Amino acid sequence: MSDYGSTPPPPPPGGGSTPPPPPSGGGYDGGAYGAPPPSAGGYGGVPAGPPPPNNLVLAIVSLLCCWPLGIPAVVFAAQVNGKWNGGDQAGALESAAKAKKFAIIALVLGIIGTLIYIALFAFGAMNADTTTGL
Amino acid sequence: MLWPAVAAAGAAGFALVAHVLNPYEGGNYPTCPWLALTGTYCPGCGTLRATHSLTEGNVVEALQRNPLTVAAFVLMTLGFIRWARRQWRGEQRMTAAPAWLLYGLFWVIMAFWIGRNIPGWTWLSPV
Repeated sequence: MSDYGSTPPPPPPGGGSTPPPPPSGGGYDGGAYGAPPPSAGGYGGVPAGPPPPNNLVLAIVSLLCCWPLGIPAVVFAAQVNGKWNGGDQAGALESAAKAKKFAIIALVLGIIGTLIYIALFAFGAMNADTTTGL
Repeated sequence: MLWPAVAAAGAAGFALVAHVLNPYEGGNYPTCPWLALTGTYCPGCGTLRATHSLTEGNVVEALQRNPLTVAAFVLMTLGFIRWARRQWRGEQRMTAAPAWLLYGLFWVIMAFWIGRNIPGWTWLSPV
């Protein structure tokens, strides 16, 4: 899902014969995505460059695993786009990271709970003839 | 194109399991822990049965189990096409959806959660 990487900066212009790509270009860089270009002086307007992944799908899945942690995950994921479109790049990245953190904790708890539940089911501790609930 | 392929394979595998191992027959799957503990339906309840119905081409039955799942599958398919096309062309996503859309989605899920547990309102519940 991640079509955005924060680590590798764009290659230096001296590395090849091509000039550095413009910040808003849909770069044909073969999948090696660079960091977003630095903001042109803070707030106001949609920043150039690709928006960060907001982890919304992950958050919604986590909502079904463990809602007390999934709800903040979805809210933080929704904040990402609002902050990004409002020009707050740092805030957007911060919200995306929080959404991811909450979602992953919820997913891990949900998976652990489900595994315990399946184990109980498999070892016959639970009645098998209840209606399915998924 | 690795991740789109992984996602497509995962979705196909899920549909295959839901089709072969019939969730309408009791005992094939354990009851959802949430339903077993609280006796209420979460927004995901009926997803496995809806998927089974869809693999048999029975859209009405799928909508009766979980209308939000069917809507989500449509949206996810459209999103997948856009994502796979970007990956294929080596492009990056340059736009972010408006925030109200994401908050709206959140409130739709919450309203659905409440609505399907209101007694008598069976058109949203998975039964």
